[in-house]
Amino acid sequence: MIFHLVLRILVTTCAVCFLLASACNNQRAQDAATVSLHSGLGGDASGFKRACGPRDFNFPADHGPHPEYRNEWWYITGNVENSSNEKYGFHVTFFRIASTPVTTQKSTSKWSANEFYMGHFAITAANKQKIKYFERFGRAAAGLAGATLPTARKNSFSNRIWLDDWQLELTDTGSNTEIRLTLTEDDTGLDLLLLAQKPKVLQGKNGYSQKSDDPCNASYYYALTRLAVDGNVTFDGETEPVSGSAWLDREWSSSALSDEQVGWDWFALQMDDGRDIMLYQLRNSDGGVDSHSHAVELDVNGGKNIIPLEGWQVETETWWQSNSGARYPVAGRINLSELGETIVYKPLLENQELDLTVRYWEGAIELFSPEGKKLGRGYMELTGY
Amino acid sequence: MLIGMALGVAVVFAVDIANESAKRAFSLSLDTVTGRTTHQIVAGANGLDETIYTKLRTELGIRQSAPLIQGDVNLLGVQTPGLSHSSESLQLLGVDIFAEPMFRNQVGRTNTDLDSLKLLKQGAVILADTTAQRLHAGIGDHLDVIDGGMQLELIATVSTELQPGFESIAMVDIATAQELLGLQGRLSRIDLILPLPPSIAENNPTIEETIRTIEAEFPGVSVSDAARRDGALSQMTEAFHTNLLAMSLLALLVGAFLIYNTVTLSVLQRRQTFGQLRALGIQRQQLFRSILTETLAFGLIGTLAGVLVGYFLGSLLLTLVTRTINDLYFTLDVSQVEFSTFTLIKALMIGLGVSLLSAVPPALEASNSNPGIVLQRSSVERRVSNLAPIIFLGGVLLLLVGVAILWVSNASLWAGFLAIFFIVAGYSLMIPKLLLILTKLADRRTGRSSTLGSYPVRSLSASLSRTSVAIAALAVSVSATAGVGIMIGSFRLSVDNWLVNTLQSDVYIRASSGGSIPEPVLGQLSALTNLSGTQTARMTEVETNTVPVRLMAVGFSGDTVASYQFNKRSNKVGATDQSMPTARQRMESLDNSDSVIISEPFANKSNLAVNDTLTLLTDVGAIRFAIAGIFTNYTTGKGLVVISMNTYRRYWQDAQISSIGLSFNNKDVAPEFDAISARLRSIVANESLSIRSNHEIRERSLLIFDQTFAITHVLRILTVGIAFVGILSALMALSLERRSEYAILRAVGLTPNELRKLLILQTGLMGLIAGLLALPLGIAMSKVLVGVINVRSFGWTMEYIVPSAVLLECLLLAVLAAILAGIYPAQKLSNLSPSEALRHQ
Repeated sequence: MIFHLVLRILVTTCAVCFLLASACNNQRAQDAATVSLHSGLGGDASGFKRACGPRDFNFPADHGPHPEYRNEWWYITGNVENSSNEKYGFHVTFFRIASTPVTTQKSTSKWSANEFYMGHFAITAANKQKIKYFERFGRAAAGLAGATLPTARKNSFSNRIWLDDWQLELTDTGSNTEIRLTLTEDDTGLDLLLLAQKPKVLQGKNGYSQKSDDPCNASYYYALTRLAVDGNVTFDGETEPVSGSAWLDREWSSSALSDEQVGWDWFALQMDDGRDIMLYQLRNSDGGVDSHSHAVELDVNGGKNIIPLEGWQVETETWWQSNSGARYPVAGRINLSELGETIVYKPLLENQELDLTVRYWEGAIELFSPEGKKLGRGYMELTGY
Repeated sequence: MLIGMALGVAVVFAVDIANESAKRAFSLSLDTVTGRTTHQIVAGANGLDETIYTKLRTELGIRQSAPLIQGDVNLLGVQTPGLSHSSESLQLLGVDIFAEPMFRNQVGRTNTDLDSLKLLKQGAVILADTTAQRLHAGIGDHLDVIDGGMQLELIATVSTELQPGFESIAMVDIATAQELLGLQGRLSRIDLILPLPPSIAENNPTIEETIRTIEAEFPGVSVSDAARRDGALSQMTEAFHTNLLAMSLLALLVGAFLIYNTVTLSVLQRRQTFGQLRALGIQRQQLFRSILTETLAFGLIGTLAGVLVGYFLGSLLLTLVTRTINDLYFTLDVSQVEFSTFTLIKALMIGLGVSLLSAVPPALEASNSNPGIVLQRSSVERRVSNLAPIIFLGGVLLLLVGVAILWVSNASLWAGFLAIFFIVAGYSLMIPKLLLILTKLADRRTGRSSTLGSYPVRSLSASLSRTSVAIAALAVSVSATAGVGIMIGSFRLSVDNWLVNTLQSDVYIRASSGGSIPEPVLGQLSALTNLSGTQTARMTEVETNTVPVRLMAVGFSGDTVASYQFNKRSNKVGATDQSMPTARQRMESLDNSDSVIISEPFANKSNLAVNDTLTLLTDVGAIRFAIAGIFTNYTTGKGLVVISMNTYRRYWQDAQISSIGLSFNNKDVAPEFDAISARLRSIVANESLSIRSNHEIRERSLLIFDQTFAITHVLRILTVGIAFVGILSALMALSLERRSEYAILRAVGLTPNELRKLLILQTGLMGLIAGLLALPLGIAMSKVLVGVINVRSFGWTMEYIVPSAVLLECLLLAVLAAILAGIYPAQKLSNLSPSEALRHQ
């Protein structure tokens, strides 16, 4: 989702550190080679298709990759609990990034690749007050990483997104969507089955999500805002059965943000009453909120209600500073005047910063009423800090 | 004095640093290629199936792995006006940029702000900055691949300062490497870092368990220890470096002679001054100490100058050393001259130590002489003359020790060099006595013919203490020239004979390293008219249980049998000549049984003999092959194993052909042959294949041979150069000492011209004697070089021939060097004013 901004940061900083697989947690390998991803992400998007207006979505095909666009991601966050009500947050993203348009290379080698995948995987354990996160890269060739197009099986269509042995398998029966997530790295892992509880939502204008005044600074965006989760989580080498709920975002585009936008706060809120609220505010360099910020409420059945810009406001209450020096607004309240309610959000753990190739804060949050009554849970992403 | 010292030190230092730099570059290059790798997955002749890597990562979850394709690539430089069109032979390293950071971190050390994703682009290459410079290539320039039919685009350079090992490497994406080498679907190897990090799947498998898992999962592959492989590779060049070191020791010996002479000269020159100082009341000890201090000071300056000169000389030598390594072993590129403090200290110690030691006898001589009285030279000379027989006996003893060492030692290269050293040292000790004998002989001949009678000859033996040292120095260096000359001559002849025998076909068409000749091309080739025979071969690299070797599978024909010269000596001890099978029998046994023939260097290095077995990693696992014969081969240090095509295809699923030899009827009819060549070129156009006639190959091989030994030529010239300066300084010492003697000669009526002639005659005589004395030593040295050193260091046996031209050349060299050295002192002395010189008496 918010990765427009992430990409933007990639473009401007140019320097990307590949993390060693063995360097888990916050330990960046000392001698990890610095590699820049400039041409893959910035520069000119010529030769790629751009999202300049609404399109017709086509499922199950749109679960698969859109190689004519430069960037794309499959993004899942979720909150789960074990049998003793210990809470975990998890976050898995597969990014597809093309370095050149599809047709420019003609090679007889199976390793020839014009795109690559970046994978992010994090688990937060509330009771241990610990987050573990990992990053991977792989070329979209020789079977090392990629995304398949949905293929028909009995009554359903199924496709696979993978990077080495991290895998997301998506099955769509038309009325139901099911996702199997299997990821392990060192002594951390996930093996979860996710079942959609609501229909797909096309975000923005029928799935066309404009991010600035330039109509082509936009992406195609759909989501499954509530998936029931069942399976196992392994943390510190201990495997436990868990259950809870998750959120899928799918987005693809060829563009980045406009120059004056510096950062992004994004919320995926799952209310205990069955409603889901998604909102993001784009922060401008002058400190203000960009007019292309967006909020939407989805009722129990998936009915969509866009909240106008003046109908909501985010107020920061707690700032947390990471070792890198960045300060993140990790707790606060969301005033939804349009709906006549206020949601107080608190992180499961203050330190949910992912110090990866792109550094950002991505973590599980809990939702309360101003009186302290539990309202739900969700995920928050803070970039550009 | 300074020049003499500086030269002596310079040569020793230069050879040392050239040696050291090449060695360092080699180990860095290994580091660059191997990186943090602990283990490597390798397989049979064609490398690995690329899907093994995918399975390793996606199914087994072994992510501390990196795929690699290795091969050779020749890059043609960018054409620049006014500069020659350069080319570089480099190691092609095909990598997956996403797997690399864990293994090799050179990508992070690029000079340009590298966008490493650019490497994914087809044909993109990263080179070392120095390599790029030599190719006159800038970022964005395109470089032609010789025999590759492809262009590479330079996208970034790596600083050799940060990553010196990168100099021999052309880094490309694995896809580009596959295309360039025609290795689609294959990998050379997969690097691993073991043990694996803790995982949730199993309880942290040990290294052995992981290896077992991999080997069980993928039949036909094996996991080998990276460190052991590298060790085996670096051993290959060890012998070559030892050879160079020996050369530098020889230079040291001659250098020491030189320093000795220069220091002696400088003290002698001022004997009068020292006498005056003594008369003025300076004490013996004081004088002795001040002479030594002065020598030390000069020695320091001379040595430092020598180190400086040696540094530049070393960088010149380095080019030659690396070229030799490239020709003999593998692609290596060094431009950085490196030396350790140890080398520096060694050079300093040699320079200072030898000068101090050399200064002691003349300093003693000067400080012990009575004030005002010039020491009687004659007494010193009488002493030396009397000592000569004793020194001679000592020399004979040393010589015998040298021979004994050769006898006793078995395979040690060092023992071989030690023996040479003893022989040389022993022989040079014999020189004073031999000189006396020779001058006596010469005296009888010349005594009657010249106006001066026996004077020129006798004065040589009269000043034995000076002349014998100079003559010994010249004799040793000339003998080294002779020895090495004979060795190279024998070697070249053997190589040439071998080439003529081996190259039975008229034209050879060969795929670039690791690649193969496409099927349609083969079809067209065998349909050529005028064809009288074809010979196909498949060249690959396979693993043995120790080092990787080159495996050549050949289809047999009559020509093939003739291509191999079998070595008689390499049979096991006890095998008699009668029991030896003929070449044909051996080749037939290759076709019918699991046997191979191996190259002589490989046999010698690995201690393998006929009837031993050799384990090769085939596509169906490790198989033991019997060794049916050992054949002469002068190619590289990497072992060569020959197998029959039938046997090869039984064990390797590989039907490809990497080279084909074509023989033609009417090949001597020039126009027809031209037509054939044109036809061939049109067939193989656009393929990454090279066409060479057997003449071309032979010429190229001999050219490489000559280039390889260029370094020995240079060292020889240097050694003779040092000897030349040695003679010069000995003559200067002599002429100084004999000023009054010559003054008397002038006074009694000798014209300056006659005196000059006399002096030149004398030095010429010295040269002749040195040359004559050098010959037996040179021949002895060449015997040891051919029969012992070459076998022990390279594993090559060769024919031994003594070309008379080489001997004559040496004799001339000695005389010429001596006469040239004599011109200056002769000129100086003949212009001497007799009265002036005699007034000092």
